[in-house]
Amino acid sequence: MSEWWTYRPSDFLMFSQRTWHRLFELLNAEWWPLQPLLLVLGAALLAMPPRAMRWGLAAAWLFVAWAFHARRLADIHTAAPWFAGAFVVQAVLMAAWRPAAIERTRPVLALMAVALAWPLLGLALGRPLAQAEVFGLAPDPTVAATLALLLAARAPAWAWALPLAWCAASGATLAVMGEPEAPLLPALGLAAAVMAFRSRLRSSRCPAPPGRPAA
Amino acid sequence: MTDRRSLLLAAAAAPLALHAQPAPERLPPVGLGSWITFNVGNDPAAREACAAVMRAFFEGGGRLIDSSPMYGSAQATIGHGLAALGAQARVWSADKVWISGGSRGPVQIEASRALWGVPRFDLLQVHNLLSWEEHLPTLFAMKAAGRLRHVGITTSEGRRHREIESVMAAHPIDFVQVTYNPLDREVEQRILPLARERGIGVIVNRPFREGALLRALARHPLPPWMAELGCDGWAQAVLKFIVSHPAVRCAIPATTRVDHVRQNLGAMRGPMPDAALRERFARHVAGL
Repeated sequence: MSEWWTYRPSDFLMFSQRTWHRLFELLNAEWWPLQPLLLVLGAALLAMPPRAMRWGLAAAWLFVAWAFHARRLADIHTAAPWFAGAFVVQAVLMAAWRPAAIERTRPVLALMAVALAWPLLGLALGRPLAQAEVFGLAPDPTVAATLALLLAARAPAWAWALPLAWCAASGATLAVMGEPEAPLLPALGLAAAVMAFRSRLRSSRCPAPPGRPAA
Repeated sequence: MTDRRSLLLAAAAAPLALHAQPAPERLPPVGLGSWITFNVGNDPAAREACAAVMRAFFEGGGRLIDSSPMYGSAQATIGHGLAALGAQARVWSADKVWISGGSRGPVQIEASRALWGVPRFDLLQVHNLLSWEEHLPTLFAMKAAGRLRHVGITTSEGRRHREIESVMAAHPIDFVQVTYNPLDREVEQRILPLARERGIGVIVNRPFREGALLRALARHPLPPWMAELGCDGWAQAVLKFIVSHPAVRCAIPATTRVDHVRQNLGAMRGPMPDAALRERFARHVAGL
């Protein structure tokens, strides 16, 4: 692309706000009544043993890649196949990850609560429940829940890259559309990354006692 | 009062000049764009809503619809609307080729044609000059073979104007598509005069800056001297400003609303501003 510096983020927005929200309405109608089961699964992830948790997370990323990016968003967004590919890569990374332990700290529980309560966000902003974005089906709440689990399990840096990249991409898309919730996911991503970094810093200064995994 | 009367008399004469434009083709001067608005995916309700917009467009006398393979599902939405309305013969189809590498152009063009459901395009344009050196020979060959009526190039928001000029000067294109409105007037300096000189029709994109211009103007009253041209609001005034330029064949505002498409088409009717009134209007808008 020549003269790339003359393009603004809004030049890359290919669809309207209305079409974006209809996408979730059609997605929800297609998969109903899977949504309550996905929310239960999301809540259960924190209670699962670490290795079961990573499989649940990998499955969620894979399902979003297929059901949302490849089958819905690809209709209206030329970059959707790339997004689908990135979500598949993250699913593989999650499956390959070997978390040793999960720490259910307050920030982790709060992050997970926000991720699972994501459907209420649209409702609070005046959108119908039919257009709700649900963990395991829509990308933003899935990424928010992933941030919680990455933080809980002190995930390595490579596991954070794609979720944080999605936080930025989603935030930019919503901001261009003028959506009031645009800063939410980037803010969650930033907060989770800062907490993870500080935790890692503390661990490096104070080595873990025997029997407890180092970060 | 005398000034206003003379302005109106001059303005009333302007449409004659507009309709006396030379080749390549006379067109209703308000068309229909499809960027963002017709990219609704496989959503049956939204596709029907777009078909309703197209119905109102044709009923109001419109003909030119513009799209591109870059516009997501817009081509499929147009094809759905044309089939539902049986309007394949009514539409003046303007599409684009947008792909790197000339060898991949024909496959993309055929895919676009199938999505529209038309026997051939009235106009194919090289989108944003992407690989134009390779695509133009393909398009000229299609035109020579009777598989395409007109050839064009496009740009938007003032990009690559020097290159646009050089293509206009060196190649026998029929149409050029550029951005033009009361705030984006750079094309008045060289491209529009060159288009007149070379008999190249000008299609105008982003007449309302994707709605931002109208949203900004909505805070201000329409000047009475534009209302006297029969404009019922800013949209018609802006469109009259654009399509009354002697080089312009068609402006292509995009919309998802039937009432807006009817309002846009209203700009084709009534007197048009003359050069002095156009200048006054542009200065007024720039000063708001």
